[in-house]
Amino acid sequence: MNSKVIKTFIYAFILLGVVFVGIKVTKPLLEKHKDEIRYKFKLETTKGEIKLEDFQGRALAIYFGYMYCPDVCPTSLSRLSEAYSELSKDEQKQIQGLFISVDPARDSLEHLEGYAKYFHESFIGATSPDENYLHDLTERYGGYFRKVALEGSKMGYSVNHTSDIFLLDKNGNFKGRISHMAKREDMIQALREATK
Amino acid sequence: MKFKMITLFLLSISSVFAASLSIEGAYVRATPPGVPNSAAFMTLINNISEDISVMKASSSFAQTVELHAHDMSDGVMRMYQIRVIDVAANDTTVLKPGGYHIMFFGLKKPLKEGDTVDLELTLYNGETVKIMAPVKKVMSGMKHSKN
Repeated sequence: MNSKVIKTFIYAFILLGVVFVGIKVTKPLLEKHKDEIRYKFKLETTKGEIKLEDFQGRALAIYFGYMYCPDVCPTSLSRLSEAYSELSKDEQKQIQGLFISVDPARDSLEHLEGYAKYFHESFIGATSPDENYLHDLTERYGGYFRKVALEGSKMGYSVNHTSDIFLLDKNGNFKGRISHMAKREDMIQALREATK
Repeated sequence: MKFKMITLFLLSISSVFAASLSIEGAYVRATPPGVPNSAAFMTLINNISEDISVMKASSSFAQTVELHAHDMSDGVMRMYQIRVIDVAANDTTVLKPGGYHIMFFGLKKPLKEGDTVDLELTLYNGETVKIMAPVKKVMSGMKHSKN
């Protein structure tokens, strides 16, 4: 083996090393960036646009649903409200309840505001007129919804949807999801954890 | 005392000759603002030794009343209309949040806690059962259903 070949090997080895270290260093940064943008949202309310960044310093408890939902959404929001009401005033200031309608065709912003407040005066009701955006958003959160035609029913269509409550911490990072039927104590605990 | 006994006797007779289907713990959900729909929950009790099917429901409070069901898988809730709700012979079927319910569409007015709503169920044999169901808020209704 001549020295030229050895040199080439050494160079190749160094280059590989540099690439390897480069990936090692940038991957977590990229992942962090991906995480930061993954949970971003831009929605509409009666009071104007809201974005994830607006809640910097406050945790979020988010529920995706629709107002025609006869049973599951009211149950989920009532249970969330009940758990939220158990928090101290100070803790309540540190977490925001947010209802995102995935049925903008039927749920107007005015109705959404009243609907969210019906469950807790501090809750916000929001949506986007762009249904594709709502699909993208719920999927980024690990959720799902789909309109299903109900033939012969006055309802026209129902919306199958994830019924978990999604929690983000004060920095907009994903903190977890909790079933809407979770035990009351577990829900209170999950809300508290999100504010930490 | 005599009066009480007669009343008890009459009550017991009336329960013997009661309709094949009786209903317990019925309630209708109070409506959040802007929601023209609601749902009713209850326990259906079959008093006879043959199966009963509830085919239809109606109320003067709503334009349309339908029978609906839910199922949940992988954290996703699905709701759909069903043709009948069956109650097996001498058994009960519970209509509760997350399961069967009777759905009201096109409410003529918002339902507030304290209101009472009429509901008529039509059975497979044409027999009808009429009840008056109280309107309850979501959580008080759920607590009731747990009892």
